[in-house]
Amino acid sequence: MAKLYRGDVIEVYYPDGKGGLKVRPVIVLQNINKSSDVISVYCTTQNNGDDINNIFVSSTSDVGKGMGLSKDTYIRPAIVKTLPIKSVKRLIGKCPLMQEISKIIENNIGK
Amino acid sequence: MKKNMNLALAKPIYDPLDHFIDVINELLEKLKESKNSVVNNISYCRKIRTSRKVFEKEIKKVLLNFSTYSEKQQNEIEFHFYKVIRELEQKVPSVIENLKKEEGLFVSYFLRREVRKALNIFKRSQKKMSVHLYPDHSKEILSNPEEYQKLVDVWGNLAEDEY
Repeated sequence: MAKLYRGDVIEVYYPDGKGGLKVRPVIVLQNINKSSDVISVYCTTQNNGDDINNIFVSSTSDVGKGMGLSKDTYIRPAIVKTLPIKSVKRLIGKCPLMQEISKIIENNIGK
Repeated sequence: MKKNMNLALAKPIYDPLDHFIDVINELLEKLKESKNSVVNNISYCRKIRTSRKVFEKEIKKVLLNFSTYSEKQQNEIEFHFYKVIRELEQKVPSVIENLKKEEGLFVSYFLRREVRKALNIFKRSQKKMSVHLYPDHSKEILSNPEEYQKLVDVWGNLAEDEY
């Protein structure tokens, strides 16, 4: 598996609830080495109305294109997941919003 | 002299597609100007084929040397190919549609064939690199209940959340 870096946008497999797998993007926060789990930030198309803790990215914007997003997406830095390296499908883009993501994570620590 | 050497090293090692696209665009312009000339048609077809073969040769060179590049370079090259394919998959259908308007011309048929061939070469090459860098574990996860359960546990309720 290729080494992943902070800010990489990757596609990962996740359970579809019917015994199969689906694919979705997440943003890499940390990947210590090629075989270790990936600490990542959750992304979704669902708007939960929390404007303070969400970052909206339009798929047609330069940022969205650079991130390789196929749909308008809400980044939710308050939700951090540690994913098995085997669930990584591939790298699809780079996220230029890491400072904003870090700020939201810091604001949510201890909450 | 030293400066020139540095420039040569700085030249991208993985972008033979640029040249091919330049040739295609140049020929499309010429085609508009003199579409009825049989001599020109044959000459264009030759140029296109030569250009595609050069492109193919360059790609093969990249593939052949792929394992000798550093890990970082391998990632960059594969990712570059991935991005180019995403762009081409959006552009090529309209290029082919435009060429179809010139249905009566042999060069139109020839050009469409060459564009498709070039895209397929590019896709196949990217796939070979991708398999090397990102082995697909999906079948392994699906066939191993423990691995699958690990994913279910990690995602919890969020798994119901559609992307």
